[in-house]
Amino acid sequence: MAKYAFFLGCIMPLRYPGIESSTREVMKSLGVELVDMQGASCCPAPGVMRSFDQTYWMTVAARNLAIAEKMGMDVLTICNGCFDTLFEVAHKLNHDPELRKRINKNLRDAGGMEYGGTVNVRHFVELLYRDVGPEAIRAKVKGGKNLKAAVHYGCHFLKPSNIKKIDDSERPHVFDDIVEAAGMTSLVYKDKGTCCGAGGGVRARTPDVALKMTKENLVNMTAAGAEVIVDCCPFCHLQYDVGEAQLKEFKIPVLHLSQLLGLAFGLEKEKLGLEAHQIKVNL
Amino acid sequence: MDIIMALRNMAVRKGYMAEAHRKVAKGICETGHLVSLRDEDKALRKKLGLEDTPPTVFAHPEALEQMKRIAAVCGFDKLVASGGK
Repeated sequence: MAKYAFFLGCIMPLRYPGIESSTREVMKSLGVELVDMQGASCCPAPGVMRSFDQTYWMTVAARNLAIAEKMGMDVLTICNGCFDTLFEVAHKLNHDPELRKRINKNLRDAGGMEYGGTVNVRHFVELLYRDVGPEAIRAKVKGGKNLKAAVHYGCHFLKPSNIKKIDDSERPHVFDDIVEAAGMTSLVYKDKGTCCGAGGGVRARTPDVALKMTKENLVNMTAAGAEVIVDCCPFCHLQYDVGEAQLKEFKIPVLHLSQLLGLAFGLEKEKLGLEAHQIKVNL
Repeated sequence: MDIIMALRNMAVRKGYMAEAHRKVAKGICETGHLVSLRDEDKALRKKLGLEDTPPTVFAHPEALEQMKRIAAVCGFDKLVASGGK
């Protein structure tokens, strides 16, 4: 059984814990063991924290990577923002011994941890596509509805594509393939690769601007006939779910991919946390 | 990208930071997380069969202390302590 250090981040365990329990259940059913990273923190969030101070951003990320390294495991995350920070910092530190030395000095001065540069960081959509595969997912599906799904990739899953090398960042298909394997029809819709509106510190500083961006995406999804939105990031998830509730004119249920797979696999609905969503999920 | 980030970091060191962003940064510095753990979050986690407190810095005070020391070592705590321009 493959084993990964499960990085929780902030929004998932604290605002949408249903995504956490869905991920744990889905991964268990696919033969992937998730082990908790005791004492991990915020990744820290790439938008604001990297813009403020890259040394602090990298040192905190290195501390999280060091926890996984001590466990002897690679990291698995279900959040685009966490993926961006941890993947990029691991990429920098794993390839630049001088930078690693500088960041390790901060870690040592702060309490003795050290990062040796050996951890890889995986996003669960990428892991599902490459390691599990759409066929194995299709084989686990136990019926359910065939719905028109607006798949939202978000900003940080595929980009920067020169180092992540997961898929074509302008015409991706890996996420759509997993959603289709789960029995859905993945829609083509206008500006599919656009930000949900929340990222880059926009939601924190100018929530009205964030909501306008969300609305534009919702209009495009509605025009394409979306019956469900499927995301792969708890922050995008929050932006759509809370955004729809604020706008009041949309009622498209929002599912994180882990919740969609939980439904498709026929897992206990009580474990998926759907009743905690702002927009009613009745699928 | 690298140049833009370096310029942003320089601007922050000169005090140019949005108040909303400074509060986010200060919160991470002090609690280790972007958002708080409320009673309703604990109740929902428990209902879902999860530990009511996630096994992060919230469950490990010594880890939070280490986070605070990192902020001090990097000078980040002082950087975000008070309002910017």
